[in-house]
Amino acid sequence: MSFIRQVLLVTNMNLRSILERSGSSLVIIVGIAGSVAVMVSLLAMAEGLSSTISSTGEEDRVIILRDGSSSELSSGVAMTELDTVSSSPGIKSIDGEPMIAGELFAIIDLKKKGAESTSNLPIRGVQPASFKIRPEIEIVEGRNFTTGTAEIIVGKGANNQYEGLEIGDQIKVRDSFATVVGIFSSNGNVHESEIWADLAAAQGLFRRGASASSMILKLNSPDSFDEVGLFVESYPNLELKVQSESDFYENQSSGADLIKVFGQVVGYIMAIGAVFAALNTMYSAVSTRLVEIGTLRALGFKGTTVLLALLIEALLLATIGGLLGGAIAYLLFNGYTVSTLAGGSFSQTAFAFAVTGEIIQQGLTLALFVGFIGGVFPAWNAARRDITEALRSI
Amino acid sequence: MYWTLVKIGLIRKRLRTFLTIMSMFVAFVLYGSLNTLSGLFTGSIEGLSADNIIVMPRYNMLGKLPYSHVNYIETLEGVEEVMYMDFLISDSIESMMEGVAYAVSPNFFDVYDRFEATEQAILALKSNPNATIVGQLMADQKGLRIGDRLNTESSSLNIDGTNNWSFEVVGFYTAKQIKGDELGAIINWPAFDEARMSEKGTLGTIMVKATSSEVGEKISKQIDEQFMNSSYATRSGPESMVAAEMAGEIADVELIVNSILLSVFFTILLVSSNTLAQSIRERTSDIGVLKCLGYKDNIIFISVILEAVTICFSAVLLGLLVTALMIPAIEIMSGGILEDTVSISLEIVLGGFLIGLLIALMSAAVPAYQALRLRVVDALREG
Repeated sequence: MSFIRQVLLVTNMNLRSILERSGSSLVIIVGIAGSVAVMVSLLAMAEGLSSTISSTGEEDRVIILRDGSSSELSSGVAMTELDTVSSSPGIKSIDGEPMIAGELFAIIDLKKKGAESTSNLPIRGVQPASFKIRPEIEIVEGRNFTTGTAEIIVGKGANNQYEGLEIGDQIKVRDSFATVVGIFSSNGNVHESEIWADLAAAQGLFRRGASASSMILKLNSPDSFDEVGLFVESYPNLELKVQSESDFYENQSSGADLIKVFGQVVGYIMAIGAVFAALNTMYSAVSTRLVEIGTLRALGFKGTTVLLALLIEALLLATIGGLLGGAIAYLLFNGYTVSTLAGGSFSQTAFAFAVTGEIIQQGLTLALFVGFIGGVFPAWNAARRDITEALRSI
Repeated sequence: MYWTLVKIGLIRKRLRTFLTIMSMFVAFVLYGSLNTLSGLFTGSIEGLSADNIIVMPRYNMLGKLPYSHVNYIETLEGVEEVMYMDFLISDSIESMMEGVAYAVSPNFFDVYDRFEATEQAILALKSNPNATIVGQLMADQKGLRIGDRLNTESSSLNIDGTNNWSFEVVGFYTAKQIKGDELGAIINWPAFDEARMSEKGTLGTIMVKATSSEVGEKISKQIDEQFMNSSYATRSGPESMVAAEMAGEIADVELIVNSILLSVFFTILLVSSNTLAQSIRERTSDIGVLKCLGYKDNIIFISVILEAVTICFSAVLLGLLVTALMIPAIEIMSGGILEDTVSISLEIVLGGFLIGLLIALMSAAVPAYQALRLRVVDALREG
């Protein structure tokens, strides 16, 4: 009889008795499922936030802020500066027009659905070119605003999270009103948490005169980045900072890293607790089966066979726990949308939890690790036992 | 008598007792540390008062307000004192100071009693246009002494056309409650405004001290209505409310983290109470023997419960002890920002023991009662 067959036989015997010991086996499964579920949910939250923010940036788009500003909110550029930059080489043209736009970024406060106090949400004044530069913007309901009017369109995320942002609703800015005429999607990136308006109208609403917060432009190719950089530098009176859109948004996602570290730390600490629980269960599983183990050994089964079979049992229970935990996290949270304060903008960004394959894999690794540590010591202990001593415990 | 029985129960299977305590201990470390950390947020909000009103730019928190707003607010009824500040934001990591210098109105230290500095330092700040009072914590970290120069580069242009700013340290300030507030430098607004090229006459924030918190609410409304249609619309509210709102902005995430932690706790507790119950169930025959020997039912029952309580309380005690040991480590890692702000409150300790007691009762009572109700013969037959 081959070694592997022996191991499988003993494993099979062990597994058949699991049902009899369902209470204590459940302890392993529940303990591990809990740890995995928690870690997977926290990592899914971090993943959702960071992918929402970083997916906003594209390599071939450039964002230009006032030199010294790290966010659009603290930045300001004059429309005359925009005219100067638009003659730079490296900018992609469409129908003879360079793809560059000035955008105004401000915040307004509205009530979130079900909330008592108000939260900040960003409003972006855009030019027609903004839509060409960002083809991901798509009107999903209603229509786009008419240039030159106080009409606004609302991102899907903002529409879900805030009160009074349905089509036909009006929002008050100072003594003027702006009417919602459409709802847009943007592939799930941060713009879905924004309100968009016509730049000229926004300048009026916010009394900004002929200025914007930032410029956005599309490059011929990502390699053209230096051409724009050099062009801006060649004008000593242009105090502007040129950076690729992907770098800009990458810098804003530090909050996600924090959640990730937090999730991992809490997950690992819980796993330690689960290891103790698993050890407990496996030790008592071994001690109630000492006679069987002794009998097997007396029949000629090797110590290693017994060890491996017990280890396989622990790992199997751990896998079930891990899968269960992953499934719970997936069912409860995948796609669940929340919002949080985004870096640098003092306003809310909505994002959805993303339970990815990689995160499930991390959870399963944790489960197997707990199963291994929890199984190997009791199994080792059982395999080493003296046959006579084990049989005597009858 | 109880103790003998409890002791025998505990050492009957030492390994299991140890493992049970350890898995519960982990849960209580999480309980202690996370509760202590979340106390941080509320702790910092408690330090702020309701009769201080903050006035900020409405549509851009990093925007500016004109000095004329101060003149208007000073005329309002119920206003005791108006302070204001602007920010000199340094943008160079090479500069000696990272972060922000606060350019404050001359009456800042008189009104804002959360911040304290010596009389001498405050006088020097008003008379010397290049003076700065730096936070005690920052001074400690950077080894600053009186007379040292603090250099920084900022996006604000200096009147000499450069981005370089240099200040002379004339004293140190301390902040009550929130140690992290000591990581800054305070300069004199009139001198700063004189020395800058752009944005002259503007402020970042205006703070109003009202005669009472009720009056404060009225004044907030009045200010916002006055400037509603100006180019510099404002958003006003009590300092405590503004801070609470800012904390509320991350509330969604906090809610989720909290609910996840709740599930952490329940998982581990479910697991350990199951083990605890199991160990008592296995002892049915022992209990039969004890009954034979003449032990009274209630004595056995109580000692079984006491055993569970001992295990749970050991876990709580260990967990809170480790939390207490972690606090200095967290404070060191935070670079002193959290110094004196984190501590395990009595509520957390009591709560921990209460939870421990509940688990002990819930997991031990039913199996212990079942074991007692068995007749001696049946109980003995079980073994």
